[in-house]
Amino acid sequence: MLRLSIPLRALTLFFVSCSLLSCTNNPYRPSDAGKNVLYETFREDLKHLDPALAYVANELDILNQIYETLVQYHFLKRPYVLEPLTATAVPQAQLYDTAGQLLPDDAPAEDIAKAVYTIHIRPGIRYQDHPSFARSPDGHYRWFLQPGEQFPPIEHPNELPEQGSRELRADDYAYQIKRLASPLLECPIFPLLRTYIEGFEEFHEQLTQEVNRVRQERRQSSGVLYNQEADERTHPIYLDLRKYDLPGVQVIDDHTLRISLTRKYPQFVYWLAMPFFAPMPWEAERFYTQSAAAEQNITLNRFPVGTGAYTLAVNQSSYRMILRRNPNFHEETYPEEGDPQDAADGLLADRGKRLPFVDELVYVLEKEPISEWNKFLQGYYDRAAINPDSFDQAVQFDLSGGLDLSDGLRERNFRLLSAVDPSTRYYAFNMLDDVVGGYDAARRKLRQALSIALNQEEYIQIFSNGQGIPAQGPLPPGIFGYAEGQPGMNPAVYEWDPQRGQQRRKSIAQAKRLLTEAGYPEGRDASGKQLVLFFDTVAQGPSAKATLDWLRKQFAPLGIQLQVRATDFNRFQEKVRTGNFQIIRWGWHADYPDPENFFFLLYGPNGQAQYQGENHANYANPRFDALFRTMENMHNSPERLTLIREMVAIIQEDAPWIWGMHPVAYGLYPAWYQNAKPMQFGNNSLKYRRLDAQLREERRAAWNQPLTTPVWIIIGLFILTTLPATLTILRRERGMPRTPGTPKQPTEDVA
Amino acid sequence: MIAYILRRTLYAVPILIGVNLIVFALFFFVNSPDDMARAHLGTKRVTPEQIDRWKSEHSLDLPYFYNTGWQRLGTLVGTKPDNTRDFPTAGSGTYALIVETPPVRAPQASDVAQTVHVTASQPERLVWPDSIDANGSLRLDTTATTQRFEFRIRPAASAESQEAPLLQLHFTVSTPAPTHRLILEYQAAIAPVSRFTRTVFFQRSVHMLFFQYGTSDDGRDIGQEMFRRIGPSLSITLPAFILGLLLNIFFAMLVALHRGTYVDHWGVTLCVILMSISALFYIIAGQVLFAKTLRLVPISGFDSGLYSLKFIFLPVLIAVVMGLGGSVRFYRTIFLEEMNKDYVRTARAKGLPERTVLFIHTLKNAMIPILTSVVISLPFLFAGSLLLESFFAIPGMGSFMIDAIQRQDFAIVQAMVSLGSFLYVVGLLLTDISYTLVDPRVRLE
Repeated sequence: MLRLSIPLRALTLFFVSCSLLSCTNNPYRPSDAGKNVLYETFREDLKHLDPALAYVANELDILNQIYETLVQYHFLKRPYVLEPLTATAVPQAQLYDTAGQLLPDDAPAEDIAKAVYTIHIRPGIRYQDHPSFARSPDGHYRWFLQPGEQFPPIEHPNELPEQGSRELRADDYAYQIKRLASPLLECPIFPLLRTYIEGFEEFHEQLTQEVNRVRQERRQSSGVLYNQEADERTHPIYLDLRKYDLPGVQVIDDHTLRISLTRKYPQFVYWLAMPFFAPMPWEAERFYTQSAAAEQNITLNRFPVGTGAYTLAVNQSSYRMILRRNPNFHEETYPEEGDPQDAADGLLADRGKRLPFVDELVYVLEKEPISEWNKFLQGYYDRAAINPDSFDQAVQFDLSGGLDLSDGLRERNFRLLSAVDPSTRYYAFNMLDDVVGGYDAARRKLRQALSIALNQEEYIQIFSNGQGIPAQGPLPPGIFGYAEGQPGMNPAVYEWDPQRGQQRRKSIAQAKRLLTEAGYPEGRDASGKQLVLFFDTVAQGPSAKATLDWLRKQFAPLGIQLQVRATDFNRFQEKVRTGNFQIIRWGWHADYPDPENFFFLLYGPNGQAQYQGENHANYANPRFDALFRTMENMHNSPERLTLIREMVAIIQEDAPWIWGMHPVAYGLYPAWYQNAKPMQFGNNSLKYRRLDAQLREERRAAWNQPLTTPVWIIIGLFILTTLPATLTILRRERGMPRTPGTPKQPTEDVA
Repeated sequence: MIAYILRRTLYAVPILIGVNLIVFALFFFVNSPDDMARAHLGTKRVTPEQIDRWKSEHSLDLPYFYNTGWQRLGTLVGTKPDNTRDFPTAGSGTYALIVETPPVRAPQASDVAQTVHVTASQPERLVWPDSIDANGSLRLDTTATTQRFEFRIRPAASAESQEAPLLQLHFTVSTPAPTHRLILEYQAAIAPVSRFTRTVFFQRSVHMLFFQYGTSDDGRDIGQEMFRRIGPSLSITLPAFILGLLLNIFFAMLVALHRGTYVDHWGVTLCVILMSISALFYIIAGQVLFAKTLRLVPISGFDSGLYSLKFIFLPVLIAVVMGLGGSVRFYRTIFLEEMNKDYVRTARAKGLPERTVLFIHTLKNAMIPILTSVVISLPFLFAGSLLLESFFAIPGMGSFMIDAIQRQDFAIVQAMVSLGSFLYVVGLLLTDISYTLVDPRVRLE
């Protein structure tokens, strides 16, 4: 055994040392070194890359690099403003009355019968290369196959030999808007838009009937074992939407589109900046609904066709997505101007240069925040958000109590940038509830007392590591109508401290006084029974225990007992839907930067229990609702601001929510990352980013020198520890008498 | 033996059907089709219409197991004062109107719907039970959430009215609300087979038995996805399995050979320690040590082909170490037991060195119990490792399953469980067969 095992061991040793020497913690291929590639991450497997379906941040992040909407948010200017992208100008509505007369822009909403957007599209914009545009010499579409024909086996449509492209036209936008109403797709914003776009509802009905007809036919022509889902996966239904007329969306010529809304809706232009309103060439849908494509899982939901700066080159959504520079991308340049601070921050160094700067975007699936953070520290990701796990390593509190980079990261030249999320987290009271709901003074005082007791500043410090600002109302900073300092303060919960020039939470004593006035002295009702409130949540387990305990503790000084009712998500949703709860915690992330997108969460006709809307508190205040209806139809102006102030004051007083916090997102950027301004709307910002790939390569090499010595030590120790025992055995064997003549066993075979 | 295998294969069929049935029941007991629809449509701006449509797209609006032939003609979700919809009818026959008024907390008790008013273009053809009053109103039980009213439509009296437009039905609820739902059903003639095939269970489960996994709830082909994910799973489980087996036997023999010495003592102690440490600790400690401190391998991730080597090294190592403690102790016991048998004493009596006895005589016989435990785990290599795959971001079967559970994707969960139960049955069969191969005393009949 020993004879053979010596060369064997030497060989093993050789392999081990070879592999140790070539060891690296670099997760990318050696050939990627020094390339102009930006590495991003995504959290979960992407379900939808169809612009009519995608509504989740991860999906929008990728889609926005590929599809181009009519308008986009300016990369540098804050507050956010729209600028034209494929349109020649940001669309403006022209208002008409029932008689078709043009109305002035400030006409009262009830006179308006129609709001018409006439949109001109820039000529010369071309689609990425795609087989759906390819034509045979005889002019036919090359890849529109006859029934029974097959594609060669492919993983990606661009593997097909013939590709084509064509100019972007107005009817592509019209086609996509029609798709939003298709019963074959489940567009999340169709219910919202159905009443706005002229004839949208009827159009949807018409398509539904057509689809039902086709399904009926298919069912009848096949046997009893017909399985609709299985059939439509391989033989998708193709609706040529060009054949159906939608009155609200008309194509005037190749570069002019007219969208008619049934009423004034100034927020509509913001929707135009989302991929729901990206152009969709009919050829693409026709191509992807062929069974030849569907059978190979080549679908529009996986392989987008856009005009944007990047195209999807690799879709391995279970671990990575690769986007490459679109060679057909039109001329677009880095913005010439920005905010006052931008020039000093070096954000205008690239002004006027042609976009994009980065050749390739690689999105890596990262489910574990710890792994993501460590790879970022090793230089393998180009951006990182600070999460609770990495907080202590990333930042420290500076002298003034603000957040600053930790010393370790500052040495490595990282930059810390922050931006308040356009979102709000809140605790909603159920206004339909007998105890906490209702609009009389007593109930209002009860809610105000609870609002004072729930110390948001403490919550932010303990559970959010200081990454948030206590909310004074529904509007976060950066949204029109938000006010700083004393004017923005919520007088129901805070009082102004003129000496320190900042707001101060009212004391528990004041809360107790309110509680007494509400009829619960020391937290007990008239009969002397302790007030018990119910908090419904899905939060369970050890990690949630801390927050729930903290929450209970907040109400204890008032003598109120908070009962936590934890349920699974389905039950919880049902309670919220039917209005059977007292207090819940909820949040909202804005779709677009307009106060309407926050106030509608408290608009009466959006009540969840009665109208299935987004108003979970079921709050309904006639004055607030009336103001809302006026406010939503206005452009930002001093008059609008006055209305907004009044609306905020009403809800601060009524306290249907305990205003929670507006989270602040902190981002870390390495030294090689340029043009690093956080962008929370639009997400098509990657075309502006620039990299110093050479610097990144140097840093990675310096930070990731492999250490092999400890491995040798471990192997050595292992051999050393077993050596004495082996020697003992050998000695024991040698000491044993051996029968002469016994053939030596061929032990080599088993070694 | 062939007869035996055939018989066992036939036994597998009811087992697989039973597993399917249990998974189906468990899943639908916890999740209603409405919950599944909501899980897929997200939490922002979901309307009841969307939920209904999603359910019908995914065949979830059918009865679970048995179709009585009642067909849905139309659903009106949410009633508004000005919103009255006509239901087209399918001719004469038996109909049912189902009124759903969920228990929504309303501002006032009077807001609860009291009656449903019915009008029809040819009222003389309607035959209602007694529950309808003279002016065509159905009284609702305000405490019930779902109520069903069956009625009949008579054939048209004359040929003339046959030509007339189809009978239109038109319902108005006394207190309209967006949560109300009016459903009109029609008792259609249904083929006896369709009573079983037009059900959720048949449409969504039966094809699993033929390894047709269908589409996930977000519209992707599950079979293809599995096929893509088996490779990455195997790239971890297979090396870990082979390497683990060799190392386990090696260390077990090492310990057995040194029995009574400090190696045996400390070896067993070490095994107990290894067994006691949680899997998560191995993973995190491994990542910190090898990827962060020593910087020898990437923390997590995956790549195709040979590029995957650097990613699989650490998970394989951890998988091996995780299994080491238990297996070494188990195998050591087997070895020691064999070493006390008569034939070993004979071999020793012949004067063979201890090593020879162990490697030649004992190993062969000890392999029988080892084989049992090994063969049964073979099929499960395809199922991947839940923990390792999610922590190392390996796009394999394990992470597929975890994601599906988190997303409430019933189609994937059921496909994975079906596959799992199939693999289990195969594993048992393989074990039986492997006995006959290694132990000539065993015969399968």
